[in-house]
Amino acid sequence: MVVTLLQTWTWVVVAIMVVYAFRHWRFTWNRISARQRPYYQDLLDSELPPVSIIVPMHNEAAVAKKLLDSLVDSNYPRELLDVIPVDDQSGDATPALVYEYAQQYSFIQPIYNLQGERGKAAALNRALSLAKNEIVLVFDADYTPGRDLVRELAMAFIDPEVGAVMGRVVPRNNAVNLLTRLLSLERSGGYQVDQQARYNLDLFPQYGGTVGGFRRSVVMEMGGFDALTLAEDTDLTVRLFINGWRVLYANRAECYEEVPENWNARFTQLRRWARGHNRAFFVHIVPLMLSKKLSLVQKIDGALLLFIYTVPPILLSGIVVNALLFYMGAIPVIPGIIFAFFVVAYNAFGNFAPVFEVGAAELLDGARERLLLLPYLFYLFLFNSWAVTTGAIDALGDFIKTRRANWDKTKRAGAADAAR
Amino acid sequence: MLLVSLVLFLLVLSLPAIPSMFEVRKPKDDGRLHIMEQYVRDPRWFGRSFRHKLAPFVSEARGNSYGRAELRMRTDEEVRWSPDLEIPALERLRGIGVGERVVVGHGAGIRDAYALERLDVQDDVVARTLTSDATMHIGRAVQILRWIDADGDIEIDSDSDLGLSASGGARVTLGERVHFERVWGAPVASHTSHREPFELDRHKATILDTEAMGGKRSIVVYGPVHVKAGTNIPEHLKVHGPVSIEPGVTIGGNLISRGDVTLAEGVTIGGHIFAEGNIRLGPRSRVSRDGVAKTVYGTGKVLIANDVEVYGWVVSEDGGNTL
Repeated sequence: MVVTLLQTWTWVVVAIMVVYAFRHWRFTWNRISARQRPYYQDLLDSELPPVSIIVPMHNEAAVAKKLLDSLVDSNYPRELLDVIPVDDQSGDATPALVYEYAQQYSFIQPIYNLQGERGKAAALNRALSLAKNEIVLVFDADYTPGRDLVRELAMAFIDPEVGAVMGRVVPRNNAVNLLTRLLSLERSGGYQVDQQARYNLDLFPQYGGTVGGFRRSVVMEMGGFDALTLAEDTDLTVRLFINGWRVLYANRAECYEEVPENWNARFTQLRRWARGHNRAFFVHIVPLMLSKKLSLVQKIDGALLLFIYTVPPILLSGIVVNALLFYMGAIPVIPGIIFAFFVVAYNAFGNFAPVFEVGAAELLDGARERLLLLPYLFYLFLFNSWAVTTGAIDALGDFIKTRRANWDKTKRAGAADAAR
Repeated sequence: MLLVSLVLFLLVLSLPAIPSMFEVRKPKDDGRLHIMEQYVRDPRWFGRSFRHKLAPFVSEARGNSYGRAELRMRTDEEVRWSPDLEIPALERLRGIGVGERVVVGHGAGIRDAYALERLDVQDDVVARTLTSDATMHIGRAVQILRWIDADGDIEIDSDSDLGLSASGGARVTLGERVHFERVWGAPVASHTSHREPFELDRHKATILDTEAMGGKRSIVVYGPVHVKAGTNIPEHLKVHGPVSIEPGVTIGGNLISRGDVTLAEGVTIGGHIFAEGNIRLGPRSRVSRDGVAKTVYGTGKVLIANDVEVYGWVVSEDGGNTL
């Protein structure tokens, strides 16, 4: 009985890996061979809409100046801009910095959250209640939007079906060490191929919580951001799709960010993402599958997107189960297929943007020698699996105990970056 | 034996990573992906940039009867000034010709011509760029290799090819069979003999009229759509498929299609037209209004019949034509 269960579980794991492998091969093939779906950045409009920009900040003194300078330098008409930095109980010089900019520029109107609920979702809810405009863009404090980026993102909302838009995130500190270089590869695959293909195929492009925006009225009607979640971006994406809205991906609306420079920071970040994402999976999977406003293909892609941070623990369990079966002398299949399982697992899921997907993305971006780093993604995958599994266990605990998760902010290296 | 096999396994596992070590130890390709952070979309960028580069020469030469200089553009270029610059017919001219008034004679082949007042280009000319601080007239069958830009009106006769970009600060009038990729004007207008409305394909299309709108201001439809004559859509129409529109329809906002767009004739669109396919603008179609710039963008061809006016930008990824 136990052996049969373990053998069945092995096949379930293999099936999941094969599904993801097919999904990512399809994305890669679409990105490199199909006609690409255009975005609206080529449209010029003399009647630009007013835009509110929210910047949640917690101890961001090392990086926030660059962001605020970028927004001051934006090409978007200032009379149409309303910038809301939300100081979320910072213990550093962030409030003073924000105050200084607010004194200089009337379109910067900060909020100081001195006590009470913390975290990005809570900060967004506070700012949303004060935002003046229907179109709201969000930037994390370590981002530096280019001069035309606000216009490029705001153009998405000429489309009456669009609830949110997402731009492309590009690491600016990728030369720092091996980790940042590998994360740069990962970002490249995730955006240049994965997001663009999902947009091309009219599937489930994801709003990523920064370098993006949404309609204020729609989010308010849906009750704002769920303060319990650590992945307000995934949460919003799914809720928008369930309610018949669409998310657009703007591959050429690019913005620099800072990726974690040490393994501890990366572990914390990934664990938080996994925790939040898995909570979104538990909360939204049933409404998603029952939604009457999505096609079957969109539902499947949405489910696979929600499930993605659950797969590493499942894959790990598959490996453990196989080892058990081996020592029990009950390997259910021929060794070649077991081997294929590992190959498929790696190809399909290594680093969340598989090797072939990352390779295609880097080629599209004009990479040369950095392609030699692709084998290292295998080791990063092992690390990611560990962090994600930890996050997934956290999420399961949160869901069962209905407990509130704390926001573990990713530590910035902005000061060091500036010094460099 | 177990130890040997384990060591061999780890060795095989690390094989793919060996070439990577060279890139890790001595990085050759670790630069960040370049983002043009200062870039701002400007349909008249070519003209503005060109004028900016020539401004010192022009301010020095203006008022003189002759001027000559070497300017560093992408390569070194000779610039010549004459108040009334006339490039003879069939002449081959290298360098940049600048004058108050410039005439490029029939069949001439030139690189760049820049007029501070009127620029007149006669038939069958081949030119790299044309710039005018006032008006510009382009004759029949003129071939532009890169771009043209004028602060004032531009009038283009039949069978010309406008290259990558044509932009004007005022009215840009396109004659018959003019080929373009990007045209900016206030407005971009057509003057051709094609006065027949476009034929519409309503096969398997959802029929949309004022009643079907059901009081909605905007509407999103999946599949082909045919909009009946006289329908008034107050805001936006988005169609996941081709859309054909009968005469006299008014759309107050944007028309977005995931297929082809055909406006039969006399259709008014208040906002943008964005199509993942071809766009056909029938006679007397209007896009936007005076003083408000919008865009007609098609990933396929954009075909323009007679007496069409688009205030703003017309972009055709696959090349556009007047009929």
